[in-house]
Amino acid sequence: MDEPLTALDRRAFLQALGSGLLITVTAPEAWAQRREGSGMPVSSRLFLNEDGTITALSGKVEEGQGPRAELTQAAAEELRVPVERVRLVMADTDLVPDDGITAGSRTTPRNVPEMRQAAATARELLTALAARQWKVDAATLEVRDGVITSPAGWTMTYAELAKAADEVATLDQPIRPDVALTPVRGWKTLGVSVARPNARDLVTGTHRFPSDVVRPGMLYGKVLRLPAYGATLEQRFSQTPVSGWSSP
Amino acid sequence: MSVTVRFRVNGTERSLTTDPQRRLLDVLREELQLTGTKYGCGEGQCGACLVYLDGEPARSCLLPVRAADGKSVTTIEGLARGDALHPVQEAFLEEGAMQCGYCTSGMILAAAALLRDNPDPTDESIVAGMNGHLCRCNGYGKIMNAVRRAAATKRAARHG
Repeated sequence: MDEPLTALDRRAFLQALGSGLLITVTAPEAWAQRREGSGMPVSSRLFLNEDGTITALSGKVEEGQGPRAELTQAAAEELRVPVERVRLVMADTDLVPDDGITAGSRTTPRNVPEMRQAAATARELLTALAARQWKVDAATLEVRDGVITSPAGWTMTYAELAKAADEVATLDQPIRPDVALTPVRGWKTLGVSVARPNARDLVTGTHRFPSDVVRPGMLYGKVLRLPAYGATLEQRFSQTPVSGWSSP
Repeated sequence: MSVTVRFRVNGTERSLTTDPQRRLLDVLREELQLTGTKYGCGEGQCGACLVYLDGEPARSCLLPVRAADGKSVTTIEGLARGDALHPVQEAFLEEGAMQCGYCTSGMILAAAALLRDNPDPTDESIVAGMNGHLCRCNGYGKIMNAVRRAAATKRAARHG
């Protein structure tokens, strides 16, 4: 894309992912185009969907070591939902925050904590929202399996909160770097062996690797290595795409 | 020069006019959008491009498309029966036998052909049968486990 997507374009893109109706709008500025920094809104990383699933966004790339599973677990752990309920979008620069390059074994030490902070902040904000509606102290509420429960037994699901108008503004609040994360001894999802979220796509050949993606007007580059020292290029070649190639 | 090639791909008759020397791999990926078949080395050394030609494993990067004329091609997309995965696909899922997954299509097709021809393989014959397939993530241990598991599943099915 030549132009950064507007918040509404980005929302439409996410809706097209098919994970239910998204009602959270992004911050007015295009966070997807920015290097991460302080004050990033929760909504730059997480969306609640009306079907109870959560869309999580990461600028990292899956190279085979499993960050797709790990970042999904990180979001699920802090939101206290089963891992199947989180849909992770990776590396689509129209949608995700700028998490820098994927290199140097930095995803686990850096981006997993960032995802946890975003998810823990979201959980706190949503719990506070429920507490205000019920007029109770948020500290008395528990979250388990995506359900907020009061001591009196009132319950509200994330999906129900996602339908509440206040939720839009709620998740546009900044991620809190000092938010309390779930201690290791309390982990239910992180640290547990889970299947790769896209494993079925991999065994059926339907997962799309970068080399499987064709974009309109896409050009191909190739490194030409000279056959002898001091050789020079006599001719440049260019070729238009073969007929029948099309956008996926 | 173009010729018209007719072949059956995953059970569907296909006909297309193209350069007869074009690689079957490229035709599958670029004309038929069957991108589950992967380009790895392009010279038959890695097995990522494996398909079945009339039921037999063949490296689609080494095959000109005219070699498939009048024949039947099966790719990884054609291995499952609807939602029902092939036992080898199930076994790869159960064992988590993939890291990046780029070699997985070829590995699964090779293992399925191996077990069809040799339902009770020893570890040595699994290695011999899968040896032409490279996993750059070096995930061979789990791949071995998956092939053993698939063999056991098929054995159990036979003995009811």
